[in-house]
Amino acid sequence: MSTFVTNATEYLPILLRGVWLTVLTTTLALCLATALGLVWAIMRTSGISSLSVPARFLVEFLRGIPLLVVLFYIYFVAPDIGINLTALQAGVLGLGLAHSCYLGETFRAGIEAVDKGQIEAAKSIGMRRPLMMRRVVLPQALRIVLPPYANNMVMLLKDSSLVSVISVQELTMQGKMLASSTFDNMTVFTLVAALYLCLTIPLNFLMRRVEIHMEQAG
Amino acid sequence: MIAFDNVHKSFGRHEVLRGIDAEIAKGQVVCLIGPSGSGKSTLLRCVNGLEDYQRGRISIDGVVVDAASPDLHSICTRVSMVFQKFNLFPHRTALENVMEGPVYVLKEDRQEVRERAMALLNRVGLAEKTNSYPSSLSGGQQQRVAIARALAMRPQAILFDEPTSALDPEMVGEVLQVMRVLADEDMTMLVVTHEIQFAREVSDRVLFLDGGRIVEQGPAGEILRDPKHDRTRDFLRRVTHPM
Repeated sequence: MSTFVTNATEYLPILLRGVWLTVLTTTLALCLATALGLVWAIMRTSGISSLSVPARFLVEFLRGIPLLVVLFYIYFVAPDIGINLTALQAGVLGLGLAHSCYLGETFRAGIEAVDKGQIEAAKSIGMRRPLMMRRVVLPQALRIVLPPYANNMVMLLKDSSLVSVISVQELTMQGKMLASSTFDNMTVFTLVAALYLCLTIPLNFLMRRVEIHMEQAG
Repeated sequence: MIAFDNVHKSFGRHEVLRGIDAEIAKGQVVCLIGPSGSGKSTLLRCVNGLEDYQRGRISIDGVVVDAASPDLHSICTRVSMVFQKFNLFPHRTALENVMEGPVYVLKEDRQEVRERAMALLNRVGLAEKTNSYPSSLSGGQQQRVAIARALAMRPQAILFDEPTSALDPEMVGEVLQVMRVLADEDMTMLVVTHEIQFAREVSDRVLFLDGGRIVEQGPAGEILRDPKHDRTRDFLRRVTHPM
């Protein structure tokens, strides 16, 4: 046990550098996925087929490709057509794109779940569609969507471990390198798993609090 | 003020309005009564474009209501609606619900609107509830907030779509009382209702609809006391003596 503690204190600073990159990758990818997801959802619920059909195809298309392949494609194929991305950029882009599909579907479900009477009430006071979305539909959809959104956030955080395959030195990558140089698999991967839990558990807790807070606000 | 000219509407192959002709003058209170499925709610919803119609013409002060027209929004700012299920915005307080239209649609000064909204809530007897969310209000209170929300737009007419049908019986009175005051103040009102007593006391005119047509219309007292048509008589007997 004492060797575990000694080794752990030695490994921890190295792994924490990975934690930083994991947090960075996840945060950036989440911003991208949320923004794009919202765009897909608004396109799909617009009722305008020149918007909804392309959005549907794009989502179906991206959802059908494994995330690992998306990452390989962006990192290894993009340079062939003249787009050079750093590993981090490629990782954020791949993660963000893939998760924008899940979030887009979640947002769409949320928008469609808002009571039709709300839309009629908004129309009856003369609201046009953009104002109605901003003031009436989206705030209510947000509440509906929050629990699945939190779930998606945790999934994204865990999926960020996949960007290790395109050499982003995040937590999983740091762990793997450390393990292969020390052969102390037990300590290293126990720490890696524990560090992921240190990120996901507070995240779940935080989202639960936000949810309760929003329920209390009416 | 509101004129219906040979209005036809169908949902698919089912014809719900089969040629409606009527005119509502400024300051009049007109009740639409009739059995369910007679088309009265649909007719009301055509007035502010929540439903479109296929043939004929509905006009408000000479401006034709066309659900496909980009000007529909400006019509909705002149004709408000009160719904059966209130449809208050659940994420906003009573006061915010009332302020929403004037501030965000009409772009009026927030402070001024706030004072007006307070006055309106006071008028419907809810001065104490300005900061309550709809979920903490009773049905009757919610419907009164909805009426204040409709009034805040300073409409030329208000459409009421069965405003008391979703209420517990003991709350019907408070909503009808607010409507009665509005009628006394010469608000133009078009009311779909099953409250025959209210129609008799408050409305200037009653339109009896059945099967998408106006079967009978005239002064409330006359129609409700002495209906000419069998179908009207039959309907009135059933709603006033359900047993």
